[in-house]
Amino acid sequence: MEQHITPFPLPKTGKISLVVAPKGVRHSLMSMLAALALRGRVIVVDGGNCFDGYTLARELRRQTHHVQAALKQIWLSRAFTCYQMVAMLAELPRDGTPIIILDMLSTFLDENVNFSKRQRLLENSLGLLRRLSEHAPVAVWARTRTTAAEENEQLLTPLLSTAHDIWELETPTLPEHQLPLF
Amino acid sequence: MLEFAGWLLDLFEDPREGLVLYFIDESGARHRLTRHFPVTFYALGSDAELRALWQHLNRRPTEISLSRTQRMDVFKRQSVTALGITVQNPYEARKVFSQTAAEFPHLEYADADLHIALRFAAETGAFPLAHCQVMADETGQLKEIDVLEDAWTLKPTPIPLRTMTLAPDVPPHHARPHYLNISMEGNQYQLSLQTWRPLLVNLRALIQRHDPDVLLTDYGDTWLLPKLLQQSEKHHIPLGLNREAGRGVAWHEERTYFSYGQIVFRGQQIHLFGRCHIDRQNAVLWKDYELDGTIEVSRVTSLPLQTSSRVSPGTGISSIEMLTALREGILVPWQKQQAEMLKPAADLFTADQGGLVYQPQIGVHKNVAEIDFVSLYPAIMVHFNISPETILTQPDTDNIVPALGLAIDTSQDGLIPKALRPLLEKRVEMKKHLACTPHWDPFRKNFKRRASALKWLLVTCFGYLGYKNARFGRIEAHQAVTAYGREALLRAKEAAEDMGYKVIQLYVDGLWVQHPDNTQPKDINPLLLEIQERTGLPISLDGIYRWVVFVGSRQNKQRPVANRYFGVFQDGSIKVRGIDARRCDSTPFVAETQMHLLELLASKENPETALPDAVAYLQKRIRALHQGDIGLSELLVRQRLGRKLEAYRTPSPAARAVMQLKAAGKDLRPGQRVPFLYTLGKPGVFAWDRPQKPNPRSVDVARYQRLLLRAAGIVLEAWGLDEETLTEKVHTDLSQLSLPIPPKQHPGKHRRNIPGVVNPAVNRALKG
Repeated sequence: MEQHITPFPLPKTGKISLVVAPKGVRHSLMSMLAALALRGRVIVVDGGNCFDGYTLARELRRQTHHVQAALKQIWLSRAFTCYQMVAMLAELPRDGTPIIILDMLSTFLDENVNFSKRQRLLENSLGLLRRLSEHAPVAVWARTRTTAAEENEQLLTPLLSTAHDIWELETPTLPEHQLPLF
Repeated sequence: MLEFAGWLLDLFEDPREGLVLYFIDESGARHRLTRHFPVTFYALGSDAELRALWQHLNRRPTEISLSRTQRMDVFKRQSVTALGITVQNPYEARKVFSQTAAEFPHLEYADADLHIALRFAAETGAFPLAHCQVMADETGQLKEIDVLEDAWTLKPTPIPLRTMTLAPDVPPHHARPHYLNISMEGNQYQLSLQTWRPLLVNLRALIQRHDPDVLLTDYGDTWLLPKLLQQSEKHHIPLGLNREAGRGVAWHEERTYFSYGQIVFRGQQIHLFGRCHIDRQNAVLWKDYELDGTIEVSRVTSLPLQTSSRVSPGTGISSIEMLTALREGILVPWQKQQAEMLKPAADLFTADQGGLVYQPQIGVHKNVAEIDFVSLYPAIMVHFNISPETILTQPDTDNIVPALGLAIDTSQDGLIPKALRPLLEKRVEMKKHLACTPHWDPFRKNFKRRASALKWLLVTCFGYLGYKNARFGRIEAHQAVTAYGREALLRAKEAAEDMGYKVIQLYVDGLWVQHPDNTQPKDINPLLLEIQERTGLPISLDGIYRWVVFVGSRQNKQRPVANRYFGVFQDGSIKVRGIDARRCDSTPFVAETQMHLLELLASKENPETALPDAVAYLQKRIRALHQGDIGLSELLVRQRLGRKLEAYRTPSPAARAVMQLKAAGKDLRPGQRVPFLYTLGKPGVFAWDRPQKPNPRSVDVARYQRLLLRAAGIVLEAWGLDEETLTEKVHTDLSQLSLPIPPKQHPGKHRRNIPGVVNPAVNRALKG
């Protein structure tokens, strides 16, 4: 279930902000994206094909009448493989445009690619992120998963050590027995 | 010198002789030939990196020759400098490549992991199962090979294949087989699986005597051949499964993968050398196109028969594209690096759409013509020259893609159109030929199967353009195809409306149109010509329905659902989409009953007059269900395990059935289908492949009755007999027969009767 979580502070130049959270955080990320789009151009790299255009448009509509203009400020590209993710990060402009990376680890959880190779490609990506963050604010969302949790954890460790600000969010656990309603 | 005309049966790499080829001679003889066949792969990178690689490879003892070369990079739209690495023995090439890629991981590679059959086809033009003229020297070295019929020949000379069929008497995952049934050239043999030595001796004798080209097995990949090989080793009785002496069989691991949003499981594979092994249970789309279609796939994709039988149509299309690239001197990337280009989010809304759908008008429609574009998306790719390298991001041509800010470069043929054109033309020719082939023609089945194989290849070629691992995929090209598709359908709709037709439904590549006067196929021709004129794409009449019914959503009957309909053509044939009779997770009992109800409706000029018979039939089936006259296998539900068991929070019925199997020591992987029965009490299912037999009394009759009434309601609702009305009727009927009445189903809050007048026929039906 999608839940609206408290909006995140906007990322800052020189820092990599990392959000480690389940899928439900997407809504808040779209709010952050809307706030950035109202300030100027922003680049989104979507690693999990999870860019939610409709939520984003709704968020923008709450804040401006010029939704189309704001949507034109958001430049998006989707990566479907870890190779594409590395290639895309290498090609991003270093002109101070804020960069948001959605579900970054998704493409690295590809069983068609040898795990050590994926680790190497992730290291390359993190190197590129560090360089990008010198010129522009960078925010990364790493999605927590129940499937392939072990691999996800191993890939998350270098990402955690690269990030400067980290928000870890969890899905609230439901009580085993329903609490009395009356 | 040896010279003969025959067919290329199999080819593979050999550690000593390079390439080994097996041929079937027209005279009946089988030949083993060899050929020196060096293969080349390429490394791409900066000069400094390539120099380091060159120095490294120069030190290797393996026979390698290196060259600096220029090759075409389709994504960069220009020639690039590459280091060509030629390995003299193709058997060594894979090893050399994997070591090189491990030592120089930062380089890009191309032409690195191509099937040897593709390389051979690119160099000589000879593809697996091609009819060729062959010349070899006294040592068996292939000197010349000329193809007599290309892969696009409509009626190729039949191949005199010798086929041996091996099948256990029962599916081994269900129960322990007792016999191995063997058939060969009209002879049937049955060997006991209780005593292995005599079985092995007899099987070996049969293989030696008949020397089959193809071993067609049931469960050969996953059970039979592993078992035979194990026992053969244990009893020291070699079976001679391979023709190639001294080679073991090739094992390929099982795997689970996602395809079109579904999880798919493929069991392990066993490939032979010099002889082809096809496991009918593990072959792709075997039920759809059998051996004839598999041979067709092998010919057009240039993949050997036992490979083509097991690869998805997507891999087949990929092979055709790679072969075209090899022939054109275009680099085949090992790992595609190109990502989607940055575009404004606003553009994503217009670009990232699929096919166009106009929701149908719910209910019965008479004299409706269904017209379809012929292989719409492949035709668009070919007609508009859509390929990764022809997409222009800075439009300066007239060929602007509708609604996208892109254009197409038409100055030269793109790689994808070049690869698809002959396939598409063959498919269209086969369709035409099939339309004129009478039902009694002995070749009709063969043609139908081959046409089906081509259809599947063409169906997937569009998806492959957007598939992440496709070597020549590009998301913008994928979006351009759907944009042209939507435009074509809109133009077709406008043409139909301009000519006085009423449009009942649009669905991606088809239109359902109605005209008060144009009710015969010849009447529709002017419309077809007009659409062809306005779109430039071929379109054909699928047929004219006497009547067709578009059904509403299950949650809300007033809401139309695309692609969920059934109808009867003027020739009496029935077409169904999206209902139980078509769905693969329906029980045979429900699917057959629903289909029979449709047949009853189709049998009468006015379907309303068939309603009393339909209701009587339904009552008969429900009585049979209550009396236990329906075989348990008719009640089986086959559902796919969607994920690993641990990943289920609330296990689905399929997951619960798999849990039972796991407890019995049988493991199933995600993507595998599990057959089970719905039973009373907990856990509510009985896995069919459990060692115990199910108790017929435990069957959840009420649940099957609900499924049946729901399926019947879908078909009869258009004539006023919806699920609730039928339920009432059945309850009355069961109480009259003193049969146990299942608990009445409470209608959901969304379930409502469609307002309408109950006609006399319905009343008669209700009164029995």
